[in-house]
Amino acid sequence: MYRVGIDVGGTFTDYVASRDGGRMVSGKTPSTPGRENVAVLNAIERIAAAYESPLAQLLGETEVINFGTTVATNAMLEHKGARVALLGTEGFRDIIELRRGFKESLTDIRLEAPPPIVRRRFRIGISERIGADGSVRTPLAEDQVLAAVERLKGEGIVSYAVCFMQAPANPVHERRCAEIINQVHPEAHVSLSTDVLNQIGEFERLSTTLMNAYLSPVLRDYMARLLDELGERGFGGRLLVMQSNGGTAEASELGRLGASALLSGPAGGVVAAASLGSATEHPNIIGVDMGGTSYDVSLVRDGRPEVRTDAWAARYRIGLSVLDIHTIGAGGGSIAWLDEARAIQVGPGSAGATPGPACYGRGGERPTVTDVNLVLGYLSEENFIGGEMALDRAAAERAIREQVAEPLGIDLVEAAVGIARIVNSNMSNGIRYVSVARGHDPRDFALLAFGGAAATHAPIQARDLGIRTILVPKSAGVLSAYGTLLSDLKVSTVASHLSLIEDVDSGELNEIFADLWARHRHAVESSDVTEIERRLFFDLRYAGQVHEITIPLEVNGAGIDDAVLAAAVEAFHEQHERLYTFRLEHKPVELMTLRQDIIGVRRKAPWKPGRARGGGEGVTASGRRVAWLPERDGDYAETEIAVYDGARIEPGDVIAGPAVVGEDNTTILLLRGDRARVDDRGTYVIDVEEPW
Amino acid sequence: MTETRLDQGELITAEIIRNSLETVCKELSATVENTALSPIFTLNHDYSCGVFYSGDGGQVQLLARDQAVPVHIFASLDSVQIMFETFPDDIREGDVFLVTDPYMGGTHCPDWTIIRPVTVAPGVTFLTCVRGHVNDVGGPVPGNYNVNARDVWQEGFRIPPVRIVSAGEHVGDIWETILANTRLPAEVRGDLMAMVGACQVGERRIRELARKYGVEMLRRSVDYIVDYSEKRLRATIAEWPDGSYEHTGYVDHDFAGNRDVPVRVKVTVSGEEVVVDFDGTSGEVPGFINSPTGNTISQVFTALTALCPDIPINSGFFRPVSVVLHPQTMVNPDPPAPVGNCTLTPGTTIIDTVMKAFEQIRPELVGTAAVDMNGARCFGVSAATGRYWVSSDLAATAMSAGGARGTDGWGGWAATFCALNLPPLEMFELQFPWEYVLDEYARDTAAPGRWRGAPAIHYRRRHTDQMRCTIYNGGARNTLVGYAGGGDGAGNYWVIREGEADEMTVTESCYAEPLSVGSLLFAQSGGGGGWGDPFEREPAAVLDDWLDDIVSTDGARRDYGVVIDPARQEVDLEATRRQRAGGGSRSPAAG
Amino acid sequence: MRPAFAAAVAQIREACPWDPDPVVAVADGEGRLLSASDGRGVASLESVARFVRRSFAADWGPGSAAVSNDPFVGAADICEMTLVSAVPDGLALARVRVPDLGGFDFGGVAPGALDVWGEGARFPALRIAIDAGQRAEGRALLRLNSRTPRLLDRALDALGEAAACGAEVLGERSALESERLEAAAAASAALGALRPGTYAAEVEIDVPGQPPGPAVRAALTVGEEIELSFSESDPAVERPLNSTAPLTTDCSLAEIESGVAGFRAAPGALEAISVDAGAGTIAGAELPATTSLARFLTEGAIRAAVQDVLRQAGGAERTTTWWEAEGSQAFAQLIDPADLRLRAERVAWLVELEQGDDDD
Repeated sequence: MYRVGIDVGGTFTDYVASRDGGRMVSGKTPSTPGRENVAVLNAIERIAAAYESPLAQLLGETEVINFGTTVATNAMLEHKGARVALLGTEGFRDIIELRRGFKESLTDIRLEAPPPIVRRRFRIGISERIGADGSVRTPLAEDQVLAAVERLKGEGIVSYAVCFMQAPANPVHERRCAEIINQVHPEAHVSLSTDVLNQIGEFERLSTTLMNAYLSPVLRDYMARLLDELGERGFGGRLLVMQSNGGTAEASELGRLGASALLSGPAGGVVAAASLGSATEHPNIIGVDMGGTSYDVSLVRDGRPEVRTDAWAARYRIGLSVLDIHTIGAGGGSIAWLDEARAIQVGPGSAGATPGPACYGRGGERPTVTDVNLVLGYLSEENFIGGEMALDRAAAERAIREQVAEPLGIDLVEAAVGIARIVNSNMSNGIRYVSVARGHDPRDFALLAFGGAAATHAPIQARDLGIRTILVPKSAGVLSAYGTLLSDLKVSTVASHLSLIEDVDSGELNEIFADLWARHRHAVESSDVTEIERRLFFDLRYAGQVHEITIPLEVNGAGIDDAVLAAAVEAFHEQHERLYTFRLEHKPVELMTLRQDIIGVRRKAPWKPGRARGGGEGVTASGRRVAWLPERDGDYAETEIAVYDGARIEPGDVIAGPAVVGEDNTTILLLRGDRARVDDRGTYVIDVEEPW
Repeated sequence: MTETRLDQGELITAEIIRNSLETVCKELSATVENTALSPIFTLNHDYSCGVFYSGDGGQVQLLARDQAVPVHIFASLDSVQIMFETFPDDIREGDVFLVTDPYMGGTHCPDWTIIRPVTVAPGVTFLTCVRGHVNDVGGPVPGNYNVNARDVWQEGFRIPPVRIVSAGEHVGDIWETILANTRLPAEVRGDLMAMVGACQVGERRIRELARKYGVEMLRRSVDYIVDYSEKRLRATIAEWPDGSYEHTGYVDHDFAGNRDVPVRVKVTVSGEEVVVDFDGTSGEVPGFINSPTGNTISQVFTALTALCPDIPINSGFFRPVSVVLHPQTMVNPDPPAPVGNCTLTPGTTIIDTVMKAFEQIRPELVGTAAVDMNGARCFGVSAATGRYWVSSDLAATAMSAGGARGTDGWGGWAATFCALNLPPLEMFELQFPWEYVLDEYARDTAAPGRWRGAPAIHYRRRHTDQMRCTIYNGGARNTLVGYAGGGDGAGNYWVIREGEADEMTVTESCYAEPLSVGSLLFAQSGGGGGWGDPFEREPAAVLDDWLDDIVSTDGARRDYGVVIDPARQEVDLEATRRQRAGGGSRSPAAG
Repeated sequence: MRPAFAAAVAQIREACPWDPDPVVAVADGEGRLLSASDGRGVASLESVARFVRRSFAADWGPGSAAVSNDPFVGAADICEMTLVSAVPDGLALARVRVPDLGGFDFGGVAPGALDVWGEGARFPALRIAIDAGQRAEGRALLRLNSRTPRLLDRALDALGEAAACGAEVLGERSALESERLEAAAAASAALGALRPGTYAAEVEIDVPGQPPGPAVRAALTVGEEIELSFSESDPAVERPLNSTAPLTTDCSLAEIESGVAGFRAAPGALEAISVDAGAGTIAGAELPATTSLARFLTEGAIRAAVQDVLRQAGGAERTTTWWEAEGSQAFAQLIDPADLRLRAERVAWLVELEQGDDDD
């Protein structure tokens, strides 16, 4: 049987497949934006070719195709979601526009409003009100719901968001509303705020619910179409999709909870990072994924990716559990430019795939990070992307010279070095943002570099942050696709439960967790699931704070009891002090939200076993060239470096810097003092010399 | 201006250090937001973080800031300077200082400034700093907005520069004294801890930078950083036409019976420099709207940052601009004149007036940058818990965004004040004894314009416990102004005990009015001004507003000259052309 | 009065002409009061001394000094400032009224105040000297919160100098201890002469020009133990009539001294009688009650109630109350709602004093 992992990206669609848990194939095929399925089918054809199997036979023997997709992200960014109406509490139609006052720029009075998911005319106030204590203060005006749905149905609405004030305290009105919609307009999608994000805070809940109503029909249709097309070609297995929380889910689930697919694209990489870290005995990993336009930083602690519940996506707030991926505009295509004070800036503008960096020779005239890496001698002119593309060094030099060096009156290399330093510093600050700023010491982490470009910069970030180990898998270029196969089925559930810890009735909490378990465990039941795990969490805060810290509970068979509560409180104090330098023992600790992750642990395709050739340091360079490398004092020095061909590097080989290794889809830079050893799984484990 | 000579490699290092300092400020902000206890910090985000610097005992300079409420961070510069001068030779590692007094760089008594000096080498001191608005600082009136104040002691406890942490140890009696002078000691203690904690987080990063780049490089980078902003602002000003541009704005009232109090501004552009002269502004007034210099200058720079939103804010930004404040005027009072409401009034009027002067220079850049947030403080003792509480609910005063060239007003406050957050209503219903009935845009209240202002918000809540309510309202008559031919905002007013026999409409103020269980409180918070002639607004945009119930059929005709056929839900283009040719009635938005 | 005390009191009086009744006292290292110049403040001075000692457990030694004006520590109201100074072998205390500490109105007397913060700034225990050196921050905090910073300075300096007498007085430590014992014994004997039983009295607070205010209720139990309790009094009110426990205790002792022969309101007296001011009542008000008029109006009611129960228990028969004899006059001098002229004149005089320093 085959298992297939596919990651549909903006530029390339990456694929990984394994047969009977054994031989793996992987590769890239150009994406087909707007017609994602074309690239998906192309990828599967390539897999079939690699296994020398007819397509129908391969699909017939494929038990699972696991996806990461940017369909949801693109629908948000391009405003191509479903036509949505909102039924809300009368008198509160504009919560979504007020956004709790948030604007992306603190100084720009000319900043435009985010494009509406639902225009005001389709935001319908319904007479009803639940009190903060859950009591019905004003009964639901069912006739108003009925009249509204009948009208909206005629106006092309296909998706309803329902979000009533204080509904988490009592969802009765939302549920009744859904019943009425289902009767009157049965083919429409319905998102209830208490189903999507059952938690207090009307703006965050509403925004998430609206996104869900906007995206779910799109994903439902997309998945149905894909399943049809695959089915026609003989596929009878299961279609799974990566979710933003790092788990995976049945494609049909995303038709209900489309908002959970927002980070489906990059999620696979983070999961792979966690898995690879554990396999290499580095449970703490900072993952950096650098492609053409962006640099995505994520953090894995104790083998688990960090998640957050307060993210923004395409200018909407999403309160669901999402992987904590911090994105900065620093990719290989990011453009270097001079601002009004003639200081060098890099990004966030990107040359993208077209025209691409100047050195691609496709008409790009602006200097990019890739151009700089070429000029500084890190990239090979002839061997870029496995030799599929030649780079034009003269074009890269011209772009840097004309747009940076000459205006500043400096020479080409100085300009290239300047750009490199700026973009490297931006990356290091990006890593600080998910580590230092959240109370983690980057020195406790290994840096995992993947995506096409990250490994060329990683030694510098490692030195900036004091990181001593860098990991670069040979499959760095397709790691996200691989990650989809490593993900577990996962559903993240929440329930609001506001109470001081000292007043908590642990029996009641156990009942709430049991209820969430009973209602959601079916979502992770599957033939390839070997066990189902529950992970329980409290969101805790000092009474009066509004930002909670999520604390995992150590629960044994007995469920939550006084010992569990006490341990959670102590863990909270410790975490608070670690993150923010102090604890407030005199303040009562307040429980805000219960969280339960239900995880169906799947059988995994093992990391490809390799054979240690025992080459050690004997591997020979394929050549040498001159490159400009950073020195401890911040200057760059001209240095002769060894150049290795990744195709000839095997497990057990050891390479010492300064050197570059050209792998198929990435170039690994080693500075003086770096020492890379390739482990059994084909991962370069790089020991970094003393930090700067 | 002193040119710092750095070679290109050093320039890049300096640029990296500048970015790193901005990141430090973000970390400070995140720490405060995540750890403070008062809703005014955690929900409203009424605080700001910055990194300052003093080399060789020289003037303190602002290097970087984040999430700044505009009135905080410019004025903090004075607070930090005064603190630094108060303890010239007596700062040790691990010390933290607090200063709050309005006449020592402050704005009003509740704005507290926490400062942690980080000396990386003799004579080279960075200062991490948080200024935040604490919920109560004693004085006669809970929440400190004393509409009857006639001197500064009637506005709260005043704190000169004091050391609150000495070499890492809390200075016990100073803390106890400070906490004895707030009605909410548990919250304020938590907020202070949060601010001190944030400054410590910042210290770690400053020391890392010093280790990594060396003190000498750090010093040189500081000069570069401020020069950089100065250069950019000078380049911008150089493009403005030389000349003098004047405007007079008016504050509704001074809470002591004086109405339409003038703020007069003359902006003179010459070459790369700007002078903002307040000659002709009202003298000191008896009521609590006098604006200490820190506040006044902050408001001027708030307008400037909105004109040049992409220049990093630091001391270099201040250099090309001189602000002339004449003694004993409302914008430069002497102690002990009361100042409690200065951040709102005359703050709003100062920003709007400076903007109106710049409208004559760069009309395409101007728009509402002011916040006309009109306050109410309610307080009481909870019948359920017996605990004393004080609240300020910004949801009631959520609006001031105006139109600007290219975009209608949207969201809540103007961008420059959007570091302040609106509270989650559901959370407030749990914390305070009321239930919201209404919080929604009101029809025909948006300031008309080719790009209109944001509509007014109508807000209503019903009380579930008794309380007292103090309101300090401005902008009922002199509403936020329109620009480039746009109309003015709808303005603010309150109604207390709505529907009862003793219902009271408040356009100026009320003091400690009792509200009973079941009573209603209503507020209108008007949006900012429109931009451009409303008769040039795209008819399709007016139709969209009509479909969205932002304008009525009559409103569309009156304010925009657009005739809508309600039955067909279309614009009658011919009738619109006639209406617009006739000029229409061109009234501002209804109040 | 001990000569050293007398000299110190005179010194303060000269520097602070607005307060004719300053007090000085000494206490042992823990704050137990040993001797005072005047019986008026025995309980409240001890309360302040003990609080200050507790506040500076470590780091307190000769040359240390702290001030307290907090009604919930021991001041009768916000403008009563007590300095506690560390001297060899104990503590020296000096107390004087200061003209102003911010708040609603000049002088801390603020009939419109909603709570104690409306009456002025609270300083429960703020250090103004360390190791015999001035602590500038403490002084700056105090000054900034006063409308009369110079007069405040003068008062603080005078208190500091007066406290120096404490070293001299504490030199007679053994004499002080025996006096304390004698006072306790005398008090015990005097109270022992009262008739056993339980006696109750109720007095409404007399607010000139207004209807009678809330009631103070005293209950005296004479038995093996002697207890005076105010716990049945009306609850604290929004008007500034609230007395705190130290003030109630002080005026009870003063009244017993007037009504029971042989009883002296001296350190040690409290060993013979326990006083329960009644937490939360108008006689034992708690944070954040207003207190500015308690020293006149409520004190009158407290003393009248004590006078009444003592009479029932066989104390001396007296015909005039303290209020009639002294209180009303003192009150009128301070503030008379019916005649604001007096008050205005007093404020004008203080402001002139404050500004007069300009000429120095």
